Amino acid sequence: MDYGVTIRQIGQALLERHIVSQVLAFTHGLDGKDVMPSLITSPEELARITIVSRQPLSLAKVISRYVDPAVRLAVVVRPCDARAIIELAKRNQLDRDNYYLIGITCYGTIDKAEGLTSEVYVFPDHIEANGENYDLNESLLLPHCRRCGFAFPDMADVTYDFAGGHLKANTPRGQEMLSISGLVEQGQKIDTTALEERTKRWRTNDFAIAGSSPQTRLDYWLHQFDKCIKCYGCRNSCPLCYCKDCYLDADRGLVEPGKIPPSLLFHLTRIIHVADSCLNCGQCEMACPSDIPLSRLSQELQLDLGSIFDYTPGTDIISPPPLDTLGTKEGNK
Amino acid sequence: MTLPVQFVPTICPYCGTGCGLILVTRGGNVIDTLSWRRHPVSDGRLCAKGWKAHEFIHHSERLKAPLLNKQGSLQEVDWDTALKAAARIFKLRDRYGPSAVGILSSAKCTNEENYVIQKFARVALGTNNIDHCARLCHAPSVAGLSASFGSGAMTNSIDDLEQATCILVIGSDTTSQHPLIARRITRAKERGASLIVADPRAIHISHQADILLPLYPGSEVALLNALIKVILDFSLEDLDFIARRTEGIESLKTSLADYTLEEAERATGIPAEDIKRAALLYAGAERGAIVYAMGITQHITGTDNVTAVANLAMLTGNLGKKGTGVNPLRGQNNVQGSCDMGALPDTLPGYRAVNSELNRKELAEAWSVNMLPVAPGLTVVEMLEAAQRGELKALYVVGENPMMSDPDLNHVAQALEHLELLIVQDIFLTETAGYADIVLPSASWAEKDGTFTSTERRVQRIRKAVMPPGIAMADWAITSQLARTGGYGQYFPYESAEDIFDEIRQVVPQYHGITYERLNDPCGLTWPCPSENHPGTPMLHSEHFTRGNGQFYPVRPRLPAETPDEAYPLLLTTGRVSTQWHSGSMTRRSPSLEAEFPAPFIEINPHDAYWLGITNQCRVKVISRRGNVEAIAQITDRVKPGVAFMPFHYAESAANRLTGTALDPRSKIPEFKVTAVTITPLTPGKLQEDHATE
Repeated sequence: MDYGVTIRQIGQALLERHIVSQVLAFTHGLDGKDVMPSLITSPEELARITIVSRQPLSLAKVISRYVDPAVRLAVVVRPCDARAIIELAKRNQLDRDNYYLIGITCYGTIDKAEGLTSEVYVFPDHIEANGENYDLNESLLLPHCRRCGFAFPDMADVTYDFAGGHLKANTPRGQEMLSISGLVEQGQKIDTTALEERTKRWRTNDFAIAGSSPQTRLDYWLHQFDKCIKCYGCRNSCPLCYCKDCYLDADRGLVEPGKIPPSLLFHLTRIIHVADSCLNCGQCEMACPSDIPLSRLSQELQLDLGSIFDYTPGTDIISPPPLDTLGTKEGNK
Repeated sequence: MTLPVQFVPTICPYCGTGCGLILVTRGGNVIDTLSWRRHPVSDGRLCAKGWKAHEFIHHSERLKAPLLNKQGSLQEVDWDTALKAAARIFKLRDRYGPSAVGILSSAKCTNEENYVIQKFARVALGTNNIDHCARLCHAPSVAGLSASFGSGAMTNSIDDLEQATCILVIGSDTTSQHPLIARRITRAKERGASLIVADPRAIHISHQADILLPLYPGSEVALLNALIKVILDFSLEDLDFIARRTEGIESLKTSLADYTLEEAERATGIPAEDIKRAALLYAGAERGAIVYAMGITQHITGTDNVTAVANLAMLTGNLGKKGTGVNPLRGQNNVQGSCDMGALPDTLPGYRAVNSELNRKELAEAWSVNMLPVAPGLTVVEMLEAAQRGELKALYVVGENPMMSDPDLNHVAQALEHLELLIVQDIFLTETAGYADIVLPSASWAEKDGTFTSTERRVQRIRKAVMPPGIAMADWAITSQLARTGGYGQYFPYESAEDIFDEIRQVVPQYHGITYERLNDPCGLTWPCPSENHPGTPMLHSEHFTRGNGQFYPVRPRLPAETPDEAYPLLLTTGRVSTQWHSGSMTRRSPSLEAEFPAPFIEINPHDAYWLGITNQCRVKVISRRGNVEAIAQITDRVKPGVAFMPFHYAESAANRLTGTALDPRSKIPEFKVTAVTITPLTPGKLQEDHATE
């Protein structure tokens, strides 16, 4: 089934009234398993938008890297993209006011699941593929998605739950977006108890290594980093690695040029750099040719850090980055 | 309003793995590269080169207009003038005969372009003097595997490697040179497979190895025969497979009757015990795969080495099943396709031998000509030798850079200077173009449509993302124009890459079922694909070998053409680094890639450095019988005593000034991997400098 109707309706109203000049979304790619980002400029092209449960790259990265900041843009976002946009705005990498964020709920994304060749939607309790329903086999979900815990893009202007039809404006801009689209708020949030249980279970499972002895942990990560071929894919695909002049570049003198595997400094520098803002979008891990479970490490660090500072990245634009709030009181915590 | 940012899925232009990537364009420029999650080979991953594949596209040194050499300086001219000047190649052909002209085609170019270029050689020039850099990388694979199996291509698919329970990597720095293939090996390893790495250097994939076999370059047959000998001695051969599917096992057994592990130990420098362990591990595996590259092929024994690899795989029945096979990793993005298209002096498109009258007749009919040239042509190195002797008068070089990539560059330079006409068609003014009479500017891979065929025979579409710079054109268009200028336009009526592909389908049986429409599938199609409803063939030889039965050919170790002696005591082996590519014309103009390996270096073992008086990071002169170059010494135990390693990417210190032109008699590949050299320090090392200033 096509669950993108409401999304396209909003996009159409924004384009037709020239409130935005482009809509950024994933569109159908070369085959049923392929989705490509597209910047859509005319209402007729909106039909290409799909909200199947795939997230092959970060749209937040697309915005901050490639799109002219002067362009008024609507973006169809999953929670991880919405949160990345918030974090980037907080760090002055983009102007939140330029974006009309159409949020879609996300119960997990799928990479390449054998057999699920075409339209695939992950629901809280089942998977729909080519119009047929299947039991939710959690091993099909991407590892970071299983640990995510952010199904609702409530930091976007509008939240649309394709699973239950719930539609809600989260901001005054969101209310305007619904009203010009001829839509009204409807339904309510689904019960998320089972989702919370899933998140907790997978976090416990994936972070098990953290509970082992320091030596075991060290050996594990040393083995992982020894596989690194220094492709820079983790950095290149991270929506929050935005430095134009990056410490990891070969000509910066921090990490020895050419050497493979690079020194641990390479990974530690990168992970520390995003530790306070990591959204667990998983793009680093999904880009890793050596299959190093990178997002596991950075999410774990972020959760640790977040619990100390009571900070969850990408939820609101007001709370400053945690290390910004470091004060004399911290010593007492 | 300017066009919005666009995302164009295409195929990486660097190695033969065939990774998919996405070019990001804005305002007519490629501004970045993204990984492409849907792509079946790269799976959303890329290597360092892939991520920066866009960096050279808009480099200021791109050729934007044709250049004509007027009194020693290259000056911009229009296409008409350039093509008329280039058409002199037809006059020289008329004056000296078709064997006096030759073409070097390019494994960087598309299938369509290679097809047009070889057709230009055969139909417009009337010569089989057409070759390309496959000669310098996998000619022995084509020769050796064709003889043993009936097909020279990689037998299994890349993702198949994950199914292996034992992988033997020999002569392949896989993580540096085919990183996304190395990924499959790493994944197999994490699923419990064992890994044997045979390489003269301690390379990155060695970290994961269960057994290391650090052999001396040139001792590959000695090692492979020893592995076979152990397997025979322990009766671990696959008797059923041998009986059902092979011939010639007795001659192999006889040839090795007296061979001992002690001999192998002396030749290879590897303890006999390690050779034995490796043989038992590979033979005992349920599914054993062999992965190899230039360490096997770039020797005067290249074809023998490949044959020995084939013997080892057949002996253990490791063919025709998932997770097994003989897997030569092809170097260039389209070197497989360039061979498929017949950009070779002895085979017409589809590997049909030139010296068969029937084949020539078939192709002549397909191309509507009366006849095709009969005599097989010259290979890369032979063409340059013929030029030096004054027998080859005109050379048309498309996208190759022999002044960097061929052995013994001092002689290459003399050969190029001897030519009456040198036409170079490229995207940059390469070292070779510096010798040209006419330089024709071509479109880069991001500026044209076409297809590449990867190492696993996967045919994939590349897509035009932006316009070429200035008045540069796609290679197929330039060569077709040149044919028209020479009066052969009727044979080159193409208006698009797809037009050419439609002809390829009719001429190359392996591609018959492939269409551009089918290639819209992100998975492409793997040849042989005989009909439009055929799904392609990821694995070769599954039921029977292409030639019927597999054939064992005994091979004996031979010494390299040059071995270290008193005057040249070290064995130099050449190769590549992870972020540079071959002659460097693309990567050295890609700032991120150049920054990783910006300068020529030579790896020397501490033991040798000590007696040569060389300290780490000091400048040294490396001298062979043919030339000398300077480099920075890296004292490291990555190489073993007596062996030194140099990458060949650096024009300022081209390693190929040192290498020799001794050829494998069967495949005509030069022995890049073994050169006798001596090394002398030029400047004191850093440590000594520090002392001097104190």
